[in-house]
This record gives sequence, structure tokens and C-alpha cells, in this order.
Amino acid sequence: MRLCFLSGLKEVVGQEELDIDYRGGLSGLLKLLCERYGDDLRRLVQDPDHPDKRNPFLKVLVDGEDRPEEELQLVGSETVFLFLPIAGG
Amino acid sequence: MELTEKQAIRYSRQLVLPDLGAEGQRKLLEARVLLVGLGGLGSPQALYLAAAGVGTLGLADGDRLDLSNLNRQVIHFTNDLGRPKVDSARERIQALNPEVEVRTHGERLTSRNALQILSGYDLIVDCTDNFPARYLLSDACVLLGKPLVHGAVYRFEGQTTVFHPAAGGPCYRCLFPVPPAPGAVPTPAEAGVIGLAPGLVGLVQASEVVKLILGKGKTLIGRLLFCDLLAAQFQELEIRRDPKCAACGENPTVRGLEDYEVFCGLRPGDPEGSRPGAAKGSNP
Repeated sequence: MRLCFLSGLKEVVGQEELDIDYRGGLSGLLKLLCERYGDDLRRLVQDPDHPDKRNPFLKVLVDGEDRPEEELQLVGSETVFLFLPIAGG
Repeated sequence: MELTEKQAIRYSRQLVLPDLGAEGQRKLLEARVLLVGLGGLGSPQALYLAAAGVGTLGLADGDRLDLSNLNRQVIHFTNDLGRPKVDSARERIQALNPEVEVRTHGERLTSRNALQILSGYDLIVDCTDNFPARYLLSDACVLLGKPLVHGAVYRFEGQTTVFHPAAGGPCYRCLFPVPPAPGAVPTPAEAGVIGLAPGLVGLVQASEVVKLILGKGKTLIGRLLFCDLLAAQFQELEIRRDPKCAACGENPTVRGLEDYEVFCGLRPGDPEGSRPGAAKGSNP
């Protein structure tokens, strides 16, 4: 699986892309990433009130498509894009 | 509307374009476009849209020019420091193309005046720098059924799309139903930005404006375009309308404009630096 970190996340992770071996739900993927990259990433991607859920303002697109979280069962061959809203103008 | 002899010369390089021609030029001359924000995104757009012959340009910005603006806000000059941005921008536009009708809105766009101001234009362009303004514009455009050309920048990066639920695309709330909590993402002042990023993104926005007016080409409705100047990469992602969207979904709950500072978790009187993504004086 290829992870692509866009606006606001690339700096926290320290790279634009990451290839990992993962199958399962989105929450498990985010938990894995938080264990690897620590609290700086955790506060951006995990819902502080519900740590098993993603932060509601985190956007996740799978293979370029916006799928509901409950349908996100990743099989390992996807490209997952993660990004935050940005407001600069 | 017949083109005058001067117009035929001024626009001659684009009149020969098969996708534009005299008919397209007339559409441009009759178009009314509102630029909300005259910062890094709005500056290049105002100049290029005026040069292209967009007939009516609305300029909405409540700020005065600050020295820290000048690395990216290229429509304003050093001798404009302290002046309202709408005034310096109007002067540059009129010097470039005096045929453009420039309407200035120097008051802050708010939930009280947004619908009235926006209703006078065919197309709205989001060149703002904070989340409350972005949600305000999106909701107002959904309520009015108008397209909203979106742009945003961060450091060396930017993103662009066209929100237009009336044409089947998503709105800003479809993409980001919930704003980030105050302080969760860095403000533009904290994150920084190179002027080239809003320059590039602003001109992509301007090209979307021209395509929407002409009815030509493939617009960014339903597509989010990322650019990363450091990596010299462009990335396009599909984005969809959310049937559950509070603004444009099947059972919308947004039936009017609200207090967007409250919606974004801000309180009246909060220091501007604490606003999410806010720059000085540009909150709605």
C-alpha cells in the first residue's frame, strides 16, 4: 500500500510517500501511523474524543476516491491520500 | 454586443483562439466576477482577469496593505502601505484595462451582507485566508446556486477546485464537513508561504473562471488539484458530492447563513492569531 501525505501532513511525517504492508480498516492504519510518528501526527489524525476514529477534519481518499469511512476496508494494494484543510490565501 | 476597434486590437491575441473568438470575448465582457480577498491569490487573478477583458470585477477585502503582504500580493505596491487593498487594486486594474467596471466592497464580508453582495455576480472566487470565510462563501454560493472557484495555499503548496453543487459537484462542506479546531493547523503566518504558490494557484483559479464563463474545456468541478512547487508535482484527486452534506445534500440543514466564527470554534474577541488560518483582519 502506498500512502501519500499532502497538505499539512507531509512535514509531520517527514516524507511525501510511504510504502507499507497493511490490510484492514482505516482506524488500524491511523493507529499504526501514530505509533510510528508520535503525538504530532496523533493530534492531527485521531479524533481526540474517540481515539478509534479519525479526526473529522482529516481527509482520506483511496485510489483518488472519497469513500465513506465505514466502507474503508483496505486490501493492501491501494494508494491512500491523506491531507488536512488549508486556508492560506 | 459588437466589439469596438480598440477592443478588437486589445484582445486580438485571444480573439484568434478557436475556443474563444468574438463570441467568447463578448461572454467575458458581459461576465461579472467577484474576487473575495485581494491577497496572494486575488492579486494575480485581478490583473489577469482584467487583462482578459472580464467586464465587471468585484473586489471584496476589508484589509489595509501591510509590509508583510508584499512578498506575494503583487497587485499592491510599497507606496500603497496602509491603504485599503480595494483602492490600490482598483487603481492597478484601471491602469491596465480602463474598460473593466470595478466594484469595490471594502467592508468585511459577513453572514449579514454576503448574500446581497454575492447576488450581484455570476461567479465567486474564494481568495480568502481563513476557515470562517471559506465556509461562509461556500454556504452562500450553495444557497444562491453560484459556482465557487476555490484556492488555498500552504508553504510551497496549493490546492484548487470548483465547488458547484448545481452542476453536480461537491461544495466545501462535502470535502470538509467539519472545520479544524482552532490551533489544530498552523495559520498562514505560522506556516509561511512563498509568493509563487498563491501566484500559481491564483492563475489556475483564473483559468477556471475563464473556462466557466466561456463554457469551454474541462473544469475542476469534482476534481481537486494539488500542486507542490518544491517537488514540482501536480496531483489530481476525484472529490464527490456528499448526499449527507449539511449544505447541498439530500436533506440540507443549512437554510441560511450562520455565525461562521462560532462554527469554526472561535469566540468574538479572540486574538486574530488564534483564529484557524486567519490573517490580519480578513475574518468574515
